[in-house]
Amino acid sequence: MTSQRPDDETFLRSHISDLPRSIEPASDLWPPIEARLAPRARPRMSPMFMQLAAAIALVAISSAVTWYFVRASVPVVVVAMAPVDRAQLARLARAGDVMEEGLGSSSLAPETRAVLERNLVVIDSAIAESQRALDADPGSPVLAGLLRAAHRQRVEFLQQAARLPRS
Amino acid sequence: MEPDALSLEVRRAQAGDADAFAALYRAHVGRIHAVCLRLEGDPAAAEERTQDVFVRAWDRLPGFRHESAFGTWLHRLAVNVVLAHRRTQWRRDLRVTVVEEPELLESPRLSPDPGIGMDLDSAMAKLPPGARAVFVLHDIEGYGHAEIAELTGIAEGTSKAQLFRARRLLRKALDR
Repeated sequence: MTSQRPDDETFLRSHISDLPRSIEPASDLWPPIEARLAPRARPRMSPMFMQLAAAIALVAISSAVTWYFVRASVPVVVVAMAPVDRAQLARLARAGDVMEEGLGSSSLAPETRAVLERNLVVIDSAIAESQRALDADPGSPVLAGLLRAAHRQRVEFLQQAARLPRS
Repeated sequence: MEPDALSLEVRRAQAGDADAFAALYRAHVGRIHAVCLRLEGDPAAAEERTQDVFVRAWDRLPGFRHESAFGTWLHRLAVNVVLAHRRTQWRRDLRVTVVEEPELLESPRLSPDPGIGMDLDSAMAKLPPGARAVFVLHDIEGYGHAEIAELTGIAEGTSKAQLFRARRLLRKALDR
């Protein structure tokens, strides 16, 4: 009777399972690594923030365009817009205010805070512009939608900001 | 380090905190060095590549989107760094060594040491670089042949042939 030799893969499997997953280097590599790290002058905006900034810019531009058309009495085609819900707008505005207060007392790095504040200025101006347009045309679902979108952007932006690491 | 704490360290390191990055280095260096050592087959080269991996990780961290675990992302980066270095090394070697087929540079280096038993790590270190890379990626790290072909720039069939060759050579070395 002859015993069958296991194939190479089967033979090696037990050796592989015995291999350590982690092998520490003989010397501490951190000092040479640290010496090679490029300094980061200021925190870069994360891709998420860049997307938010782009969305905010879009809201601001669309608010301006809509405001222009409303003032110029050019007909605007509305496919489907929700009716004006002032209570919802007020809730969104209040949520944003509360979050902004929380952000004001947090210990963010000055550079990060400056980036956040610049973006908040853009959002706030989009909100103010949409609000002025809605005041001029209170029944407009288009303007209400823009104002709602701007408030939501503010809340989402502040939510992202609240998740940033503190110094 | 707990996963949540690690995630916090990643976010701090992304924001430019070198101390947080040092903590990530301490948590991951063993695993990354193991991959580099097995792919390189040489302790000095493995330490150089380990340094390269962490320097590259620091540079790329701002773009890390938390879609996978940081350890997975770092491991993938390590494989890419080692293989990219190997490709550069090969091109440099080929410039000074005129050969018709690059495969000829890969003569088996398993030394005949009769009577001396070997562990798998030592035996792997003596494999030809191409066969070693495929064996480490496939049998140890769990990559498929298609992925290995993409990472190393070889054909899938070559990857399979290199794996067969590596297993045969390793068995020969370990059977002694």
